[in-house]
Amino acid sequence: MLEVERLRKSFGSLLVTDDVSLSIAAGAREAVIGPNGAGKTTLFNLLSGELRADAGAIRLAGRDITRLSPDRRVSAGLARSFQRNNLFMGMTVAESLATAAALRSGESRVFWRSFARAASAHEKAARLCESVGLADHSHTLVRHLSYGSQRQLEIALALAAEPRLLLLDEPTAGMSPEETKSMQRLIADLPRELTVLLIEHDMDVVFDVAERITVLDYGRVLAQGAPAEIRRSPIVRQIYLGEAA
Amino acid sequence: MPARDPLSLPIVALLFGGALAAALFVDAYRLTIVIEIAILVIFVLSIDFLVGYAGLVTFGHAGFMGVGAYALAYASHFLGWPVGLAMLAGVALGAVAGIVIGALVTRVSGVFFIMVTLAVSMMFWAWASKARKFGADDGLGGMKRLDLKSIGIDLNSDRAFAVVCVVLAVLAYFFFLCLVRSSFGQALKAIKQNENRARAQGCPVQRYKVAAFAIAGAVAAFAGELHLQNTKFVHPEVAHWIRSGEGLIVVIVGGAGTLTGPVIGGFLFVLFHRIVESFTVHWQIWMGLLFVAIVLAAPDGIYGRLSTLVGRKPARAAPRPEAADA
Repeated sequence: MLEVERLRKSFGSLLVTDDVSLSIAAGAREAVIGPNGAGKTTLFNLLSGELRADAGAIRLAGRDITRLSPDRRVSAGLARSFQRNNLFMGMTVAESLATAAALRSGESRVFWRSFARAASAHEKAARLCESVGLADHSHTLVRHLSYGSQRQLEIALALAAEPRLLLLDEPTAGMSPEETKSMQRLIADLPRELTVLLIEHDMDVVFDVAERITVLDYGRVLAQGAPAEIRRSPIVRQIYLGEAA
Repeated sequence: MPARDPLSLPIVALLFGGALAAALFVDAYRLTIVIEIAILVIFVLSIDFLVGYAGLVTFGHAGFMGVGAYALAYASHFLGWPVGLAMLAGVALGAVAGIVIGALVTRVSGVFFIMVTLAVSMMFWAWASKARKFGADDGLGGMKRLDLKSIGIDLNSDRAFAVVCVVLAVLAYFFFLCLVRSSFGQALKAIKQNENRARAQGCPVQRYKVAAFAIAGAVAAFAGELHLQNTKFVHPEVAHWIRSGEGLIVVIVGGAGTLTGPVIGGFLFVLFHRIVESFTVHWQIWMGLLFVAIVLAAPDGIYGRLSTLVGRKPARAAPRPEAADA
């Protein structure tokens, strides 16, 4: 589904993504971990197109998307959530999801018919509200939502883009243990055909969700493997889990 | 969806109804006021569509009025086209200018955006001020109005012209109402609230902004054509930055991000101007004081304040976007 080949990105003299290669099979669940500043979010920004890579290639389902703009990458089947909530604060939950649905389907180019009559967009919004557990809040203004519910909406918006590859940037960041549990369930319940790559600090979530883990440090891939291997790897324990080797 | 605003329909009906009644009954001097209001309303609605709904604060919108006026003057006066056809050409040229300028200015943001819109419109003004063919900075008279005699309307009568202008202003209001409530309008709202997120949802943000510019440019060009037919005179003043600035102030004072606000603002601006002008030549001082007072008392504009007072949320196109980051 996703092939990343020797991706490089530097800001000035600071190399933030150093020869990163990844290969993710369709339907796989993988995680990227690493200490703060390891270049995880930069990697996501390169994948989603908010940053342009200096070198290397990104292929999505065999198609080269290295030079595509962020919106074209969405059409190609890639969607993301953000580490810090990045929402339409002045809309209701249902309205923002219906807007996202209209943007995805091309309904948003229609200027002669009322948005209120865009039935398929509103139906899709209702389904998404249901599936991420926001049905009770569908008419709440996004800025009045609790932090945890805003995190859920982050995922729902990404799902509204109907991706084949979903990038989740620290979905449980800042969440209470209960909220983390429900987010964990939400991720586990995502459709099996969806490929998921997530950045996460909560090791319980990572070891629960991910089938394979990539460890980044200083922009380099330090280790790649199944959760069990990663847990055992001394280099990971030393650098990331902060234990003496 | 936010609740529809119950205030907007009565206010708009009252203002436009009053203007229509005035167009039918008042004397020749007051007719000129009605015409001026109608044309200003069309112009400021197009500004508000960009500023209040697409979040694109333009300081050069009169440039599009200039494009419409000069295109109409050229096609009807020099090429001898029928005025109706020349008007269509002027509106089309306004849309094309909107696409070109939109594509240019939406590459920058914030203060730079405002400055570029100002600079581009003043380039047009500078050209018009030197264009000998159009009388340079003296302007050129002898322009014709649209010929509607075939349907029994003689637009050379100011009364008929006033009625038609008011009707066109009403149509412009409903045109933009339709637009901002459409799915396209919803996409603009999304871009205004959070451009970064809109892009992450697959929205080609740039193209939507350019489309908004094309629409606003076409409508402003149309207002410029009416202005030319009102005075039967083409003059560079139509594109001057003072007109752009006045339009922006009218939108802000009336209530940006609502369509009713700019309509109120347009009526207020012209009426206040004409009334105070009859007492003192320093009308601009009083206008300035009034507008400062309004903006201090009603930061959301007159209409935003009215909506809050009656305890209903205005059908605003939402507040400024939260800082977007990833």
